[in-house]
Amino acid sequence: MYFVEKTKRSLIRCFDYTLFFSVVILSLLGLFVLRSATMTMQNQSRMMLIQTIAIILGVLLAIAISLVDYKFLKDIGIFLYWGSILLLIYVFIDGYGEKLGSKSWFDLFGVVSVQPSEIAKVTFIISLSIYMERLKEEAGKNNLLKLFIHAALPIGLVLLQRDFGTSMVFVVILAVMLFVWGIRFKYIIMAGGAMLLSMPVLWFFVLNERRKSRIIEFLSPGFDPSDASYQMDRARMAIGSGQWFGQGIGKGLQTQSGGVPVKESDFIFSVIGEELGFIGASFVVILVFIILFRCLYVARTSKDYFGEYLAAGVTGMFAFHYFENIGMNIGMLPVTGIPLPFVSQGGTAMIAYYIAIGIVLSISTRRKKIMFSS
Amino acid sequence: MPGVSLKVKRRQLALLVIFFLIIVALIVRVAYIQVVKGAALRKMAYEQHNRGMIISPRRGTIYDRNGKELAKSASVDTVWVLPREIANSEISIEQIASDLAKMLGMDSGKVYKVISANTSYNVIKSKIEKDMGNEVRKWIAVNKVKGISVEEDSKRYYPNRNLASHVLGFTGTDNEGLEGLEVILEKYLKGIPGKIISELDGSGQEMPFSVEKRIPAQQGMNVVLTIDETIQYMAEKALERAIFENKIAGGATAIVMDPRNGDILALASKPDFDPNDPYIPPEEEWMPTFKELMEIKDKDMELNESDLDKIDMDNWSGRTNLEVLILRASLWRNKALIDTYEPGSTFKAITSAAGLEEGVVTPETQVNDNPVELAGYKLKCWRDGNLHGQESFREGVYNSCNPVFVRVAQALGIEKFYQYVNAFGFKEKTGILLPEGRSIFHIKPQELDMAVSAFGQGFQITPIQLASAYSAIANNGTLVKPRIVKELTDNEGNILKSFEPEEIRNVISRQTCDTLLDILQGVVSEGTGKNAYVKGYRVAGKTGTSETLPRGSGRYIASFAAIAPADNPVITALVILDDPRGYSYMGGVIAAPVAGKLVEDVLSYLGVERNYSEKDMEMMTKTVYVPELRNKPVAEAKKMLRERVLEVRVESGGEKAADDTLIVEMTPKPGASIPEKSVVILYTYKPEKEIMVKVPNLSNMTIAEATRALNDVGLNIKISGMGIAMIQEVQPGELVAKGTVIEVKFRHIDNVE
Repeated sequence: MYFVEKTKRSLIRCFDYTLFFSVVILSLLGLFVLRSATMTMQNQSRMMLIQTIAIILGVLLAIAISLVDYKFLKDIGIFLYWGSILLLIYVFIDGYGEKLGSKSWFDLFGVVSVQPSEIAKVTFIISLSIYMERLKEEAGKNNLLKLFIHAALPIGLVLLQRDFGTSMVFVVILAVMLFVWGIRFKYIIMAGGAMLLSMPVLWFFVLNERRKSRIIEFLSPGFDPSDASYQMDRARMAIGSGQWFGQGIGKGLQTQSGGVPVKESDFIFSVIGEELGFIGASFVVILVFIILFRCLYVARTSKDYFGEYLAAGVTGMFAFHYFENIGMNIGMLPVTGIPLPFVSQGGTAMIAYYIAIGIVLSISTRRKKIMFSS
Repeated sequence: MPGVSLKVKRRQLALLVIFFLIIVALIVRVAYIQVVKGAALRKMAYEQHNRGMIISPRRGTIYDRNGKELAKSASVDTVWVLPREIANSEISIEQIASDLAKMLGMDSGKVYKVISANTSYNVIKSKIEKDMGNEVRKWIAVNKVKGISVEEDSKRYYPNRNLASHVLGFTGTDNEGLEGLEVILEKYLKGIPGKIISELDGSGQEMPFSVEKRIPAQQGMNVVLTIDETIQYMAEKALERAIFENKIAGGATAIVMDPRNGDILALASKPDFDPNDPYIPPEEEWMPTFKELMEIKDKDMELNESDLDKIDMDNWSGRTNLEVLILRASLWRNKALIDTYEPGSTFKAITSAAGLEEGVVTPETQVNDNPVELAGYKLKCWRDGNLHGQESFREGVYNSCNPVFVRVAQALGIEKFYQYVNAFGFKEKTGILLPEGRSIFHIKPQELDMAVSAFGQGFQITPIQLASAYSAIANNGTLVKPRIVKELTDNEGNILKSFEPEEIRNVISRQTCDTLLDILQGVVSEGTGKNAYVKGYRVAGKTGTSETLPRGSGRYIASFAAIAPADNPVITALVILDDPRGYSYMGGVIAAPVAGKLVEDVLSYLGVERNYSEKDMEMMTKTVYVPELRNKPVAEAKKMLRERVLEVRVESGGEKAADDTLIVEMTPKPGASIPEKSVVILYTYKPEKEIMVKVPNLSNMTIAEATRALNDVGLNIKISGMGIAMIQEVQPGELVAKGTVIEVKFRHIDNVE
């Protein structure tokens, strides 16, 4: 019975406060930045309301989940997986968002818009962990094929939504989990080779012109004076304008004059850079490192494989989100539609990330008492 | 439960190291952008932002020499939106969008998109009429709308439409000059744009958000041209009539200059365009040929003959490369400055000037027009079958005998001859402000080249070059740069910059000019230029007819260059008709009367007094006005008409009208101007239908014959020109009311080249 805890004391003592508070601090900072970023927008109050509710709901959910033994996920994991697959299919029937680049939203009760791919990231991690643990324990039967098919289904669906960035998240989650799971180096090399080979295929058959232009712009800045380079230029200008201490919340010239594109989501790091300066931006980056470090630490100290894989998956998800998002903001990586977790506007994502954190907290609470013993 | 293997742990450590390295890279990059590059990027961001909202300046007005507006900027409005402020309005954004859409005649969805866009400034609609702008202003005030502003803008108008279109040119959507003086004088006309800046001043110092700085726009300078609107109008009308009467297929041009200071009084080129709407396609008759397009296209423009077939006239935008090329080759082409052509006999005045100046001939030198044999060619007189034979040089010019001029040139020698060609400015651009064509001469002319050039063939010049050269002859031998812009002024009328007349050089002596003008006056009064004769004004001039290359194509250019009055020149006029296909192609027959009429109109407009010679007085038929005779008794009417030397015919419907019968109707109507001895028809009853008569064929009749022929059938004549009847206003065989005045144009066709 997972719901009955043996000792309340160990629960409180082993709770990963560092991770929890890092996330909460980042969320609160994000709320201020988001308020400033959306000051020029029509629906600011509605956005802020949704974001605040999502954070409160998220924190409560995370605490609740941390109190529950994560092993119950093993029982419901497969249902969660198929549930999210159904939702991913549903957006094809009744979704919207083509104008933003990919059709990946649907309306829930006509009130809130839900982005199933955000939910799917978490269920993806859970179901993969179940599979991997099974594979690990039935050693010898190293049948990875089934695992790959299992993973390919949601990735394919997200790709069909033309959401290339999010499908990359799934791939990275899978890669990190497999790496931690102990996939042989020969497979890693094979995967690397396959990636190289698939590049021309992607370029000529999968990627559309806009995505290609983003990559071209990244590889040779100034080559293409279109959308992609405009976004990167504006973002760089905004971040640079922040200098050491920033122009202050609500006072960023680029941010407030509409110079920064998608500033409430993909380019919110530019707002942080402009309004909070190097001090603020590096503070965020350090918080990110702490979060990743703690997640990885939880994976390392998990009492079982299931917990380890779960935590590794969550680490991979956050790592990709943070690195890609910040990287594209500062012109190190090509532009994709990847938000900054706990900061970017988006209710579904916020709740999904808090659920992921709740799972990691649950694992950490039940971790091995003695560390580095074996 | 199995322990976690060491291998796996190492992998987690590896991940941690990778993460750490990435984090360090991110921080280094952020530091580089913010700390190292920060100041530069911040400056860039300010500059980007400070572009702000542009208030376009009012473009300067273009006036004619008398202060009449030729191009002016009317005040219009542009509606802007500052999307980030719009939320502070008292009404909803949807309401704003639908209200604006209704007022501006736009789609409300489109307006919504613009006003909710994530930008700092946006144009909702530009260049709307003032009324519409004021309506929006009122709506903003009433509804306390924020973030929508109506700013003054300007739009170019050309009140005279096609008048002087090639000189003026036109502007684009941002009021920038695209053609003609609008583009040449852009820097003076455009003014300095103002702007509205928020937040920051120039030094990058931060200011409170609400502060809005407004830098007003500075109006452009006004331009005063040397063009006289009325003379320009006269020249254009003269060309339009000439094109119609002579079935001109290649366009026409007319230049009227003041030789004393080089002022261009009129510069007309046909076909032309309406600068208010310059992209309208040319009529079928003015469509350029493929060859013409090839001549003017840019080197790097691809053009195939098949492209011309692909032009879809129904979807003509005037903006594609090919369409613009077509417009450049036809309607936009300023023939007066760009076209090069062989001047033909008009150039003989230049050869004469050189010969007289160098003393190789005098007016009385005996010459003959026997053909000159040179390098295997026989250069003959135009009247080859019936040579003029022995004649004075003066008569040689009157008769326009080619061999006479060949001999003059030969006497001068190649060096001297071309020295004068150069001195008259034919090998350089005149320096008028507008784009000019480049004249074409042999680089190393041989004697034959010179011999042919002596009568105006074998080289090509622009019309403006010839007009300038004639002006030098009219200006005591001093070549003056043609001037089209007089000065730049501000709105208070202060002169900001003036373009003074510029003398280029003295070409020939005053004495030579007087002699030459005397000869050229004889050309008009006695020689090939008779059709340019104007009673009361001494017109000097020379005809020109040249066959365009290739020879034998049957395509001609007819021209006439005139200086008037010959004793004290006030104007120089050049008329060129390209490719006439009517009753004649001879310059003396078709271009001379156009030039003569134009000179007459311009001189009388300028108030130059007429000075009739005895011969003029003799030739003049007096015209009288028809008096009002209706409701007057027949006897009184007859008496009144007799006093005016008019004939009378009474139509009484059968029985003879009594002397006290009242007149009910009459033709011509009272007020008509008719020559003496014309017939006035009086009706003593209300005719149900006026009596109609057939117009006789008058062609080739003399003035006396034509007058009699018309009077015989009860019609009246209006005589224009001299010689024999060439054009009658109403075609033979048509029915017109008895008593109608028919205008008939007479032309000398004997003794023309």
